[in-house]
Amino acid sequence: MSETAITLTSGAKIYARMTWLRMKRGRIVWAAALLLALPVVYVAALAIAGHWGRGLFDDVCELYFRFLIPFVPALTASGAVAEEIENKTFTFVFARPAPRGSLVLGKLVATTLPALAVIVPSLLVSWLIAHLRFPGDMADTWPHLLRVEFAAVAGLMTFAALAMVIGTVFSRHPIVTVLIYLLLIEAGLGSAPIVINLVAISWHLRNLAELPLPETAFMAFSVPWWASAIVPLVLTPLLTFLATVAVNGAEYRTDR
Amino acid sequence: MSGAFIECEHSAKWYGQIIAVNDVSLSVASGVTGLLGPNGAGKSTLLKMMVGQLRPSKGTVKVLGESVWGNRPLMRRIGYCPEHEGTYEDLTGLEMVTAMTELHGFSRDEARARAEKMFGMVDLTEAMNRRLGEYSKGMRQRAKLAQALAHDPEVIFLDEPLTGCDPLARVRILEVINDLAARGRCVVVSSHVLHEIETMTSQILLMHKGQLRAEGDVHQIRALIDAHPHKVRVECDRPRALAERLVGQEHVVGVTVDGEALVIDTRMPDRLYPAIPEAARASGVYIRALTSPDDNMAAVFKYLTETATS
Repeated sequence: MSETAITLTSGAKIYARMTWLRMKRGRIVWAAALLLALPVVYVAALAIAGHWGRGLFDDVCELYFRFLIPFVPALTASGAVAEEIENKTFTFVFARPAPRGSLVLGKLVATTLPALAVIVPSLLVSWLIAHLRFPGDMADTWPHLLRVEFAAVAGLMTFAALAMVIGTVFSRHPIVTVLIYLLLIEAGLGSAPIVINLVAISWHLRNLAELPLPETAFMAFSVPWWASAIVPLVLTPLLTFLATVAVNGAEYRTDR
Repeated sequence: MSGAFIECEHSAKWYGQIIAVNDVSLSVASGVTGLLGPNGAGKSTLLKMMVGQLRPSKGTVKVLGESVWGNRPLMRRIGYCPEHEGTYEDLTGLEMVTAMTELHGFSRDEARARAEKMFGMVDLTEAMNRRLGEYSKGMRQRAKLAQALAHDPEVIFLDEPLTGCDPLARVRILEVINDLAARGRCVVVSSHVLHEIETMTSQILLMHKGQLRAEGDVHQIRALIDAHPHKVRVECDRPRALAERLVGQEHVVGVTVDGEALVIDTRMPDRLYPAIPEAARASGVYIRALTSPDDNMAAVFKYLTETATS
């Protein structure tokens, strides 16, 4: 016998590889990658039409932060754990000595890394295209690019963790439930003209990325960018932990 | 541990008002033990409590002397083949069994070697690089068996392992189970078909409506089941041709063609089962699956209950 103790991380690695193998044979991951890369075409078209500079780059960032960053994880991550429950394949994996939390962690890694691998270069390419006409402006706007990239990475991870925890708890209709959350909280409250818009993750991502914020007519106050950075940095591990707790103590029935 | 591999004491499991397993106490030693009962008897729930996927609402469930729920290290010593058909459709059989074996702490190379060996053992080597979504029901059952055995567990739980298997798969699975028993493993096999259990063991646990109704030698209830017509459903390409071959044989009480299946009534299932492949071979019929509908066991339990009442 040459078994070694299976830890949270070693188990997560196996689940991540398994999930990636399955994802790359499906369509969703490729559709998500295409969606995340699509703004590059948009920025190129606008550049040809005569737009340029930070204004153009911020226009493209709107696409990412308003739609793609919240919605792409809903497609890729919400069903990751839920499908194990609904397809009953959890009966195979929970009969192993690997910690159940490694399933959550592995799925999160497998669904987030490919998205990051597309969004980071596509933002960079968009920024380069936006500055093709006046490359000298790059020296002034690269700190903004860094903030945008950081906000995009943090945002994707947070929304993926959020989609996963919602999908774990509401395993029957994971995508629908995540979409309801996104429409009510992120799109609805997030753009409300009162201070309550601060509850939306996307508000903090926009603040972090130095993008225009929705106008707050009542009780407006400014939040420093570093405070907004704390939101995804705290939420991602917290949501992952919650998904792990939900899976750890759960008894799933197979007779439904 | 007192020689028992599995011990349940007053174990019960309920979901709200529904009692799935009701005050079950039992002890299982090495070798093959059949867990017999009609659908809904609580067999699968009891097995899931034994493999740590359900927490007993009451009582204790111990495997190898240890409580199972939340006991991850114990999972190394347990193998579980679930009843449902759900698998990772987009993985190949080899990828799935390798990953499952890795999750026991084996390196990828060793896990793969073990998985390949298991596919050989269940006669599925040629199909191991095909996706599970392309597998027939019998092939899935064998792949599920492979993932349950690749880490060489001491206690193995097989939930309805012969359901939907073609005759060849059935024979191979039975051989594997008998081999495990010969190697001193403890194997618990659930089924709602007495004949299936009989071919593996004489040691049975009889469940009905969540309760353990009897335990001991299978031959005692064998007489009871013989008193009831036993149904066998054969899914094949030409059921009428198969029916022509079987009608008139002394162990066949009646036949019914149901779409692409032939339903045979018999009072001598042990004689009928070997006769089916022979008749199929003689008439050139291709058999896809052999199943024994649940009403066989239900009839016996109905009889048992009525006898007890009267």
